[in-house]
Parts: sequence; C-alpha cells; structure tokens
Amino acid sequence: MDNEFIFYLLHKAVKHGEEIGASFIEARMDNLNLTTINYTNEIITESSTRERKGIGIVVYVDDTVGYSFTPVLTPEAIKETTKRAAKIAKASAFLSKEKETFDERDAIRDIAERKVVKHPKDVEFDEKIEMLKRSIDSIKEKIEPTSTTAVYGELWGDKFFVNSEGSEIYWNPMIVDMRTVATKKVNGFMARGNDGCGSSQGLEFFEKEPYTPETFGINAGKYCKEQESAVSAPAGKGAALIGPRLGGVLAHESFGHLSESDFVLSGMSPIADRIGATLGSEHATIHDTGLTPNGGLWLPYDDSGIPADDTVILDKGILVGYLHNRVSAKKMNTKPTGNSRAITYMFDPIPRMKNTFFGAGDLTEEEAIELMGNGIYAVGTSGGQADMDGSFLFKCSRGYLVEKGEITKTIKDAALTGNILEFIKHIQGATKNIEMFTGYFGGCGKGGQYPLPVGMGGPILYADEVMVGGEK
Amino acid sequence: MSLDELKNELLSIAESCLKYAKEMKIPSAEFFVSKGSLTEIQYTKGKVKSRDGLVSGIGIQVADNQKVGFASCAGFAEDSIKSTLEQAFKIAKNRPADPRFTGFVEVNQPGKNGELDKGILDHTGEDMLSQISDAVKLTEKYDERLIGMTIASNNIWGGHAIANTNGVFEASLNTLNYCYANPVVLDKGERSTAFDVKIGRSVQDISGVVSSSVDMAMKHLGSVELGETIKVPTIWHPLTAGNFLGAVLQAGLNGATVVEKRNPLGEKLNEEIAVKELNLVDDGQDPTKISTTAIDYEGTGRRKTKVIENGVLKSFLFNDYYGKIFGIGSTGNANRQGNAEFEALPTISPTKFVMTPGTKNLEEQIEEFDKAIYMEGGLMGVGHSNFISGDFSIQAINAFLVEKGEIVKPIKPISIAGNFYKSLKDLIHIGSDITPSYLPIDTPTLTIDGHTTSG
Repeated sequence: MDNEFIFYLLHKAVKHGEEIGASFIEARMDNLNLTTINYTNEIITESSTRERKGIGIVVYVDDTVGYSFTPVLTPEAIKETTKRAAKIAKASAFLSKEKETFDERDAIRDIAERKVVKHPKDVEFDEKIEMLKRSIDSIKEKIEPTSTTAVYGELWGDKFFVNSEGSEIYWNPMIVDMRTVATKKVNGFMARGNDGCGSSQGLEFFEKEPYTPETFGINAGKYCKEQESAVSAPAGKGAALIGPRLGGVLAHESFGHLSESDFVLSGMSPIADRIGATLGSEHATIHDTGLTPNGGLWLPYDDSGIPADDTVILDKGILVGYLHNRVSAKKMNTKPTGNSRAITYMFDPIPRMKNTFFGAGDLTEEEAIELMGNGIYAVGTSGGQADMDGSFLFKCSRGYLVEKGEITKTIKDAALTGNILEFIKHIQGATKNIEMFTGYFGGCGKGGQYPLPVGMGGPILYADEVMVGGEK
Repeated sequence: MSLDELKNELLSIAESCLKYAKEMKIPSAEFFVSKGSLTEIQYTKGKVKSRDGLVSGIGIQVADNQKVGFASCAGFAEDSIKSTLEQAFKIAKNRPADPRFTGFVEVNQPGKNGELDKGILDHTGEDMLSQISDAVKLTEKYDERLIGMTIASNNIWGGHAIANTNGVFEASLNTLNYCYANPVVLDKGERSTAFDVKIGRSVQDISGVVSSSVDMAMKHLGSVELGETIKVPTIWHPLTAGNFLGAVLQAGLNGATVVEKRNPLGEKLNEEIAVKELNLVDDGQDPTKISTTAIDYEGTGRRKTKVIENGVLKSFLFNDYYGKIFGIGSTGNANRQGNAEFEALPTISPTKFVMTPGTKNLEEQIEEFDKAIYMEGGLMGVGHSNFISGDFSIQAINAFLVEKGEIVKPIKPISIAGNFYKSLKDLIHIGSDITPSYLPIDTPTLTIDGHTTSG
C-alpha cells in the first residue's frame, strides 16, 4: 500500500464527512511496526512483531465531536467509519453544552523524516538477541544472579494526517529501547537491580556509553548487589535530591497532567484559572516539547496535525501556560501547543504530554549533594501516580542516604509522597545537565490509552521538604 | 450482528487461518481471532466525548520445532493474515530454540461461558447518552461545592476464537457494560476527589455511582494532617482492600515468576503464608463474573482453582507454557492484556480471586479499635510496588482516623508502608461483607496490623 493511496483514503474520509453535514474532519492513519524480544533466564520467552495499521476519523457535527476507527483499509470501510463518527457526534449534540469550536489555521503540507544511522528494520533479529545476551553476561561481572531478564523493543513506521483545511502531513515515529533486570535471593530476601532506557534513534543509540548493553548489565548487577545491604529510608519529611528519571516522572505525572487543558477547562485541575500566579520557587521551571536536543522522544506533530513546539508551563515558579489542543486553545484565547495525542488509530486524540521536564539550574551533581547535606538521593523509579488534587506518590526504586554531604548507604524501596503544588515551592536548585529518556516499555496511561510513548527526564533537583514513606 | 453470528464469524476466520497454515506447510501454529464492538461516552462539565468502533485482529504463534515466533495484524484481510503468518514463521526460524517449549495447547474440555446479555447489543449510543443525561441532572441536586464531575459509560460486546494445529477449535463470547464517576469538590480552598465504578455483564446504573462517589468526596472535606508516624491497625474498605491485595496476589500467585525464580512465594507451596482464616479461590466458572469465559486466551477450559486454603498456599496459576514446565499443566489462566488483545501473547492472570468471608462487617471492625486508620476509595502506588521483595509504600487518598471505635475525622492523604507478604500473616479480620468488584479480587473489609502510617 503506497503513501499516495493512503492519502487518497484519508481525503475520501474528509470529503464524505463534509457531504453528510460535518463541519470539520480530521483523518489519520497509523502504520506502525512493533517488535519485542524477551530474554529471561537465558531463554527467549518472547520474539514477536505487531503490525498496527488502521485509520481513525474525528468528525465535528453541530460543534460536537465524534470518533470512529477501522483496520479495514478500503474506500467503503472508510466511508462507513466516517458515517459512524458523524452519527455518534450528532447524537451527543443535545448533551454537549460546551461547544467544540476552534480557529482556522493555514494548511500544513509537510514530510518530517527522522533519519537514523542504523534503522532497526535493517538489523537482523539475531543481532538484537545478541545485544540482550551481552547485557546478561555483563551482570555476572558483579553478581551471581538468581534470575535475569533483558528485553528489547522497537517501534517505527509511518503516520499520515489530513484535515478539512487541506493539511497533508507525513512523519515516521522511531523508538528503540532496552532494559536489563537482575534479581538475587539473599537470606530469603529478593534483591533487584535494573538499568536501561529508550530513545528516538536507531540502534546506534546502544553503541554509545552509558547506553551500551554491557553497561546496562553491569549496572543492573551493581544496583542489585547494593540492595543486599540497603537500609530503610527514614520516614517523614526531609530534604531530597531527585534524579532525572524520577524528576521526569514527577514533572509528567503530577504537574504535567494538571496542566493538560481538558482537566483545566473542567475545573478539575487545581491550577485552573491561575495563569500568572506564582506557584513555585524561582528554581521551578517546567517544559513540554516535541523536539529536545537532549534525547527523549522525537515528535514533530501531534495527532491533530499541530507542530509539537516547546511549551513552557512553569517559568521560574510562575504559571505561564497549559497544554492545549485546538478547541481548548480557542476557549482560552491562545495557540494550540501540539498536545493532542492518541496511542493508536483506535483512540481519539486527547490533551497529552510530549517530552516533559524540569528546567536546568546551575549546580553540578557534587554541589547538589553537598548543598543538601543530609537527606536522600532518589535516583531510580518504578513509576508513580498522581491525583487531580495535586497529591502524588512516586516510587524510588534506587536511592541513597546522604549524610554530611556524602552518599553513605543504599536505601530500600521508598515512596515519595506529597502535593505537587507544595513540592515546587520547595525546589531549592537544579543541576546544569539535563538527561532525557523515552521508551517502548511503559508510557503514559491517560484515558485508558496505555502505553503512549512520552519523553521524560530533566536535571537533578534539590528540594528541602519531601515526605518519604519509608519505615522507621 | 447477533452473538451467534459473531461466534460463527470468529470460527470461520479461525478455520481459514488453519487452512492457510496447511497451504504454507507451517508445521505448528496457533491462532487467536478477536472481534468486538465498543462504544464509549464520557461527559465532563458540559463536554461530551465519544468513541464508537469495531476492534478486530489476529495474533498468530508459529512453532518450528522448539522455536516459537509471534506476529499480529489488525483486521481479517486475507493478505494481512497470510503475511502475518509468514512473518511469525520467519521469526520462529530466526531465533534460538526454547528447550522448555513442548507445543501448543492440546484438545481439552472447555468450561462454561459466562452469562451473556443480548441487551448489551441493543444498548445504543443514544441510550447511553440518555443515561448520562439523567445522571447529569442528578448532580444538580448537590450544592456549589461540587465543582467538577466526569461521568462515563462503556458498552462492549465481542469474543475470541482459538484454533491450533493440535485440534483446539473453540470460541467464547462476552458482554460487558461499565460506568464510572469521578467528582471534584471544593470547600474553603480544600479540594477532595473520589472515584466509583460499576461493572457487569448487563447495563449498569450510572446514577448509583454518581451518588456514591460524590458522597465519598464530600465526606472527606475538612480533613486534617495526621501529623505523626504511627503503627496502628489499618482497616480497608472492600474495594480498597481489593485494590491493595489484588495486585500483590496477582503477582505472588503467578506461576511464571515461580518458574523464572522471581517469586518470593515460589518455594512455599503447601506452606502457611497467611492467617488460617484466609481461603482464596480463582473462580473462572462463576457465570456472573465479568472475566468468565468458556476457554482462556489460548484455548484451555476455564476452571475453579483453590489457591490458598486455611492460610496454606495450595496452587499457583498457570498458562499452558509455564504449567507444563512446572509439571501440573495449565490452570486455565492464560489471558491477553491491552487495548487490542490480539496483539498480546498469553500471560498469566487470575480470572477472579474470591476470598471466603468471615464474620464481622465494616462497622463491627471499626468498633473494636481504640486507635486505627480506616481507608476507602483509591490508593496510589500499588502497581509500582516491589512485588519481589513485597515491600510497599503507598498513599491512601480518602483516609479517616478511628478513635475509641468510631471514625472521628477525615485525614489528608497518608502514606502506608509495610510488606505485602507479611500483611497476609498480619490479617486481624477478614470481614463478612464480600463485595463484587471490577478488580482481580473480590474481598470483604479487612483489618491488618503492622503497617507504618505517616502523614
């Protein structure tokens, strides 16, 4: 199926939608290829590919939106799908008090191509398996593990978009990812260590340190070994350094979601109607961008054909923006920010993040540790969760105790809890360097659309009052 | 389309798949054919969002001796199926053998299908919108403290067929409807949220979840800081207890991690892992439960499995692959997760854990304690816990302080830390009020000792 035929189908949807009374139509197609390899205890337990191909159609009727989708790529199916989207939109109109209107934009005709050195489609399966084996072999330089897992994932393909304004956009998503996990049973306790990450690059990403399979394996073994002598984190409020991985999850899960325009417009977000307010310290800046020089996710356009520009949400503590789609931007008299995203053709685009991170400061890592003096240094995370009132819980899966300006002991798993609106008031500094990540494994789960690849990361943050849910 | 027609279509596609495999001289293959209709409508403060479509696709596993490859495609186009079959075969040929793989599921006795409500097929988008409209009117009775509310309804019907070259050839159907409400209330600058959901095989009552969720959010206004770190008994509302224990039991009773030596309960079969009052089954054959199907997601008949009896660990849950390695075979617990089931390989999960109830209800448990923490509503961080060590540190959003046998005040979100596996031995009460839920487990109110609570 060539690109010309796909654009023909998408234009067909727009034309048919207009014929049956729709005021605006967006039609997009995903043609994505996903590969997963799982190497557990030195056996390949999964070697798989998935072809995710289908069309999704957004239709506006009576200023009300409806969505439908199909994996069947024929003109008849496209027509039927457009009709289905229009029907549900029309039926919803009586209940829809908040009308979906937006400003006209100039049509965009663009081909945005991500060029990589070593495209995963050109690399044989056994070379990818070999990377996993090398990583597992490296674990053994540090420990004799009870169990090991190394996983590899890749996502690449094509995305096509057209709309009633005449936009016609093509871009090619790209993510490669690798994770290595070691576990070891010591005195009845299971210690665990892991390393790895993904990037919007080709397989050349895994040829540079610290992202080689060997380093992932060595680190997984090392972190697992550290857990053998870990102490419980001190429970209660105290100072903390938050590393890029955990800081990225914090920026995304907590503040990022609160700044998504659907939550803002519904009044559910505690930062609704607070543009211009000073919410955080002068060290608290948060960005959300589609294209970052520091790695992470490459995202030139959102799923409504809007360029995924850099959006500053919080600037030195002051709330300056939200994350918009076209409708919310119109309602709040601003421009769309390229945050209308959907995980697959089966889902309608909703306001979601791109690469979200705290802005850099002027410290080095050593200065940050010294400045804090006593507290915890939360480095690795197994994820986190936030509530719409701003409360959050982020799991620190690798962390250290800092005493008198020096790292002294490894701490056991601990949860950092609190309210993001309090937390950002307590940010006292950040490091100069920013590290960004993305991933094939995991992602954002908003609206049941899990796992949407997003980018996260940032500097190392220093905060003087963080609630740690460890044990005394 | 009727449910019978759907079943016939699924089996017909599965039959075609087997034919293609034969034509292509593929020695061993398994086909998972899935199709479903979904309609989803969400209302948030005057804004309606809707999604309506058909999900269909095929997941194919091919074995070349002990080398197994998987590929999937969306839709049922003949060309796509054939190229996906070729792709799965190519992957199989290009990978090392798995010495533990001994073949796909053999022919076996299917279980009974869950109840099917044909009314779900007739429940249109217009009907769902009308239900939501009535629920919206209900919110108007509340005062201005209710500042936001999401009300959603989902209507789903569909099924899956499994066919493999060993002769397995079965299909199973499902009907499902669920709704949820997520209010935000604000009073004197204090914000409180709550969440409630109803799920079943028939159309659910949306108004009920609206009322219960708003009541829950309002009840938590006026909360104060706990202001200390204490170790007191924690009392868990059935849905909160299910949220807490469901995740850990799903991980701890998973046979795959036993085989892979990552399960802390792996060497504890027939040992006491919980208080003797704890009895737990995985019930794959209760026709009212939402996950009950005739066959699991790789073709083994669903069944009822006793997992914990009088506190003693009696069985883990298995799919075919891990069950054969462990030596007991599948327990009918192969499932395929995700938004598109056909894209997933069969992994292990409970059909529905059900705990045997005890004697005391929630009120009777609260009455018993001089000082305790009572929790209802959502928890944060359970899914991100370390299920290998069992250490957890989670946050309870809607918590209350209990003093002298009574709930005295709501408290701001608190963190609760402890160890999941130790909690099974620290159960003080397994309540009488077992509550059906959308979670992997149905539990009653539980009281557990030994958790560190701070806030």
